[in-house]
Amino acid sequence: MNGFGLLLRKEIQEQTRTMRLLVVAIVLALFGITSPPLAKYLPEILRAVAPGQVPPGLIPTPTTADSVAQILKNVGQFGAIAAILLAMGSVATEKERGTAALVLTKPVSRAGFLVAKLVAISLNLLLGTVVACALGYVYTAMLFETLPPAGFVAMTLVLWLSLVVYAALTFLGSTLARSAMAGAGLGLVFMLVTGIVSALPNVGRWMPEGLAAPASALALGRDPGDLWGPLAANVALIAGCAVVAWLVFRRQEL
Amino acid sequence: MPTLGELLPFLIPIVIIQLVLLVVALLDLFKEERRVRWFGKPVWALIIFFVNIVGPLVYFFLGREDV
Repeated sequence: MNGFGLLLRKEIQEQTRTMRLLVVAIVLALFGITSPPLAKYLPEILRAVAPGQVPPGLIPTPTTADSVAQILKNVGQFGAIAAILLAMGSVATEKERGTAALVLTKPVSRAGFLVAKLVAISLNLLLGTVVACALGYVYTAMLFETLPPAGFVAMTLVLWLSLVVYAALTFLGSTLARSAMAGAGLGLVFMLVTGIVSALPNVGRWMPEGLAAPASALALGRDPGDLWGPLAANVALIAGCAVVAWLVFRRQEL
Repeated sequence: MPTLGELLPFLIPIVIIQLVLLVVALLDLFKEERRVRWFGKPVWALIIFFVNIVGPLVYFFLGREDV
């Protein structure tokens, strides 16, 4: 992978210059801040919106598990959207504009070109996920109870891994496609497929969507069950996307 | 319902985020070399200014030519 370090620096500089780093961190931070109070005050909000229509006892008293579930759901959903937005044009736009051909005239390999992009997107998502989960942790402690920090860190990393899978799927779409929108479309189709597979019994827990339950268990200090298998499957999915993208990209005329 | 005092620890960071986004987006928009899509710069300025949080984000993701 010739020129990987150089290309990675270029990608990170571009993420900073285009504000993507800041914007993704801010969007995810917003969901990190708002998820615990949403979990805490949802019953009261519902009672205020529909006074007299919510029978007492219908909505259970919110718990720490609800706060963690809100964080995982909100940061997970909007993180997935951020992953698509970051990856959709990463290769397709550079092919469209001819900048990929220009960069590859330098002594850098096509594999290095692709991996640098995927790693930069993953680092961007890592920053956003860490910021969001750190804020979510603080506000969960303020509104509910203090959770074991190690478990919350583990949850953050599992959540991040699931977002990197979505980024890798869209990244593959971006490599196959000629435009950013087509790349995003392909990424969405791939995500739809993992979503459908995740609903299947036995296989579902191996998909990125299946990581939410063990991530929640980790945050709450409970036994996550068999976690290593699903983690390995998701890492393999990311690696598989990168390899297929490389096999396609090395034969593409730029 | 929670009181304003109870909500302040959540509202303050959101207001700070809104202000940071507003300033960064407007500074970026009015760079001389900045090219924008869909609307002209004055319309984007109004969107950024009046649509809290979402306005600057829409600008960053869809309005800028290089995103």
